[in-house]
Amino acid sequence: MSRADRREGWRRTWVIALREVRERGGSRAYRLSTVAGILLVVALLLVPSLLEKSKDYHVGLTGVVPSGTVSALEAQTHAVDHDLQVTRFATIAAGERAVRDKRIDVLLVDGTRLEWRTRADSTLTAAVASAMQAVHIRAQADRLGISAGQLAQLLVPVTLTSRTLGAAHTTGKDANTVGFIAVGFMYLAISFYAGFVLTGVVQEKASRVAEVLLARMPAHEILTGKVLGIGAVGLAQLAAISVVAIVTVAAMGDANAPSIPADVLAWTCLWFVLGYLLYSVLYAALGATTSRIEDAQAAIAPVTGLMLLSYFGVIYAEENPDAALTVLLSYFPATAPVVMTYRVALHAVPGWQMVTSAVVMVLAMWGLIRVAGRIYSGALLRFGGRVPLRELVRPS
Amino acid sequence: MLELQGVSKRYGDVAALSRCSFQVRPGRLTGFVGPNGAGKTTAMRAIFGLVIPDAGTVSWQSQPVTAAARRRFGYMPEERGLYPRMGVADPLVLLGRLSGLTAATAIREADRWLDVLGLADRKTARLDDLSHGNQQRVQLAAALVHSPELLVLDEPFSGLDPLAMDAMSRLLADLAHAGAAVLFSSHQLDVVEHLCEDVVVIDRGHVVLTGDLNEIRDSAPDRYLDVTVSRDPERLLHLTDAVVVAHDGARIRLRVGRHIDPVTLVAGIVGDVQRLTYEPPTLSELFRTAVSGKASSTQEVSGVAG
Repeated sequence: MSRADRREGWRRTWVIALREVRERGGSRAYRLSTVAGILLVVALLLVPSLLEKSKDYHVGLTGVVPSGTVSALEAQTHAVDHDLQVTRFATIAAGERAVRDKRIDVLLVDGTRLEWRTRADSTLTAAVASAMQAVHIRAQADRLGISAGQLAQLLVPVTLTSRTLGAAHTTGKDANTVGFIAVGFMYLAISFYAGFVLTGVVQEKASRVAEVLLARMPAHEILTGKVLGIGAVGLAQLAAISVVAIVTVAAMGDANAPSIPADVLAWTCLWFVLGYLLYSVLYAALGATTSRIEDAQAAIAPVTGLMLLSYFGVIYAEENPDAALTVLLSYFPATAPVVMTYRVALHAVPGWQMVTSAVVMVLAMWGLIRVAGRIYSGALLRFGGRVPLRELVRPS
Repeated sequence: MLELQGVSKRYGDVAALSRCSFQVRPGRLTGFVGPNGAGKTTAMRAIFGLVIPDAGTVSWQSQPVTAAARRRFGYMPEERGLYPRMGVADPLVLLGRLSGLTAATAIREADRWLDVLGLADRKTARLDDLSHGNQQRVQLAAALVHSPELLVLDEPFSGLDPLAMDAMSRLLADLAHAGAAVLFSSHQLDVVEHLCEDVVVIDRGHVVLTGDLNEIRDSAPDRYLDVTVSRDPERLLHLTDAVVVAHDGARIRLRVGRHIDPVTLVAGIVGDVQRLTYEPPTLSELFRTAVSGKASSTQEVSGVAG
C-alpha cells in the first residue's frame, strides 16, 4: 500500500469519525445525557453538604439553667453553621419524653448533663461543651470583677483556616473511596460509550447502510472511524462533566472531599481510553453478527461477562491488594482498565507495571482489531439469525 | 470494460456462482436477468469485493479490480441502505467524500444530482419522510454522486410506478450514452429487452447467455411467426414444421426452425392473412428456453440470496 493510499484511508476514517461526531454530538439524547450527567454530579456533590448545613439543632433545657446559656449555645451552634432552637421543660421527665419522641436532639439537665435518644452527636456535644465553658468563664469573671469588655479582650477568637495538602497517595478509607469512585466511573463510562458503538453497528447493518459503505471502503476503516468518532464525543461529554465537578468542589471549598491526586486522574483517563477502545471494538465485532438490536445484547454477553469479571477483580483486589491474581488481572487486557485503575488509586503501583500493562493492552488491541475487522466485514452482509463466529474467524 | 472470468463462489454445499464469465461494456446498458436465487446479487457483490470469490477474476480495463478502481464504481444494492434519520443531501455528501471527492465538490455534486433526479424541492427533508419512489431516487443519487465510470444497480426498477420507471429508464440510457458502463438486474424482461444493448442471463450460478442482445436473438435456432387470419385458424395448428406456442382465437404464434421459409409455410392461406410477423425469439422466450433447458442438466441447489 502506497503512502497516498494510506493517507486516503485515514481521510475516509476521518470522514466516518466526523459523521459520528455530528450525528451523536448533535443528537438530543446526547445533549440531554450531558445535562443530566452534570446535574447528577452537582447534586451528588452539593446535596449532602446542603442537608448538613440546613440542619437545625433542637436543644431542650431543664433544671437549673445558668444565665447566658441560651446566647452562648446560639453563638456556638452558629459557629458550626447550624441554627438553634431552644425549648425549656418544667421537669426532666417532660424533657426526656421530648428526646424519645424526637422533638429535640438533646436535653441539657442543670447545665451539666446531656441526654440523647440513641447516640451522641459529636458536633453538638462540642458546641454545648464550648457554650457551657463560656458561661462558666463569664460567671467566674463576674466573681473576680473582670468587666465584660476585659473579658471580650481575653476571649478574642483565634481565626483558624483550613487547607488540604493532598497526600502523596491518599491512604486508608479515603483512597478506597477514590478507588471505588474511579472503578464505578470506568465501568459505567466504558459500558455506556461502547454501547453507542454497538447500537450504531447494528443499526447500520439493519438499515443496510453497511453494504453501501463497504462497497467504498474496507471494514477496518469504518470500524476505526466509528470507534474514534464516538470515543471523541464520549470524552467531550466526560470532560464537560468533570470540569463542572472540579469547579463545584473548588467552589464548595470542602476540606472533607476526598482529594484525587493528579497522577491517579491521568492514569484513570488513559485507562478509560484504552478500555473504551478495547470494549468498543469487541462490541462492534460481535454486534455485526446480529441483524437486530434485540439480539445484540445476547451477542455481546461474553464481553459483558469480561466486564463483570473486572468488577469481581476489584472486590478481590480490595481484600488481596498484593496477591498474584490481582497483579495478573491488572495485566489481562479485558480486566486491566478497571483493576489497574483501582490499584493505582489505592496504592502506588510501580510505574513500570503500569507501562507494561498498557503496552500489553496496546499489543492485544493490535491483534484484536485485525480479528474484529474480519468478523465485522464477514458478518455485515449476512442477515437472518446470528452468524457463527467460527465461520468468520476461520481464514477463507 | 468490466470483465468477470470464471468467477465461482460456494457457501457450504451451495454453489452461488459457478465459473461465471461476462462483460459490461462502456457506453452500453447491460441487463442482468435470472430467476430468484440465481446468483445475481452475489455476482454484483463480487464486483465490489463484498464477496471474495473462491476462484476467478474480476477486472476493469484489463487490470484486476483494486480498491481504488472500485471507488470509481457506483453501486445501488437491492436492499436499499441509507441512514433513515439523516437529511436527504447528507448521505450523498458523506458517500461522495468517501469516494474521494472534496467536501465542497461533494456538496455541489449532491445538490446537482438531487436536481437532476427531480428532488430539488425535497433537499431539506429527512429520508424517512420521502415516498418509496423518492427514497429510491436518493439511493440512485448516492450511487451517482461521484460520477462513476461503472454503475451497478441491483433491481433499480423494483417498486417503481410506470412514470418513475420511464424516468429511471431514460436516466440509465443517458448515463450509458454519456460513456458509463451500466449493469443492472431486473425481473422485468420487457424493460431489459427494450432498454439494453447487452444481456447476461444467469441460472443457478451459471451464466447461460451473454452478449449483444440482437446477436443472441439472431443466432437463436428458432424463429417466431405471429399470424392473424380472417377464417379457419385451425389450418395452422397442424403444420409439420411448426410448433404452436400460443393460440388466441384468430391469432396464432408458431415456433419454427431458423431455416424454414415463413412465406412457404403460409403459402396455402395467403389470402386470409390479416397480420403476420416473423421475428427471432424475444428475451423472455430466450430466457425461458435457457433457464428451463439448464434446469434438468444441473444438480446444484439454489436458495442463496440473489
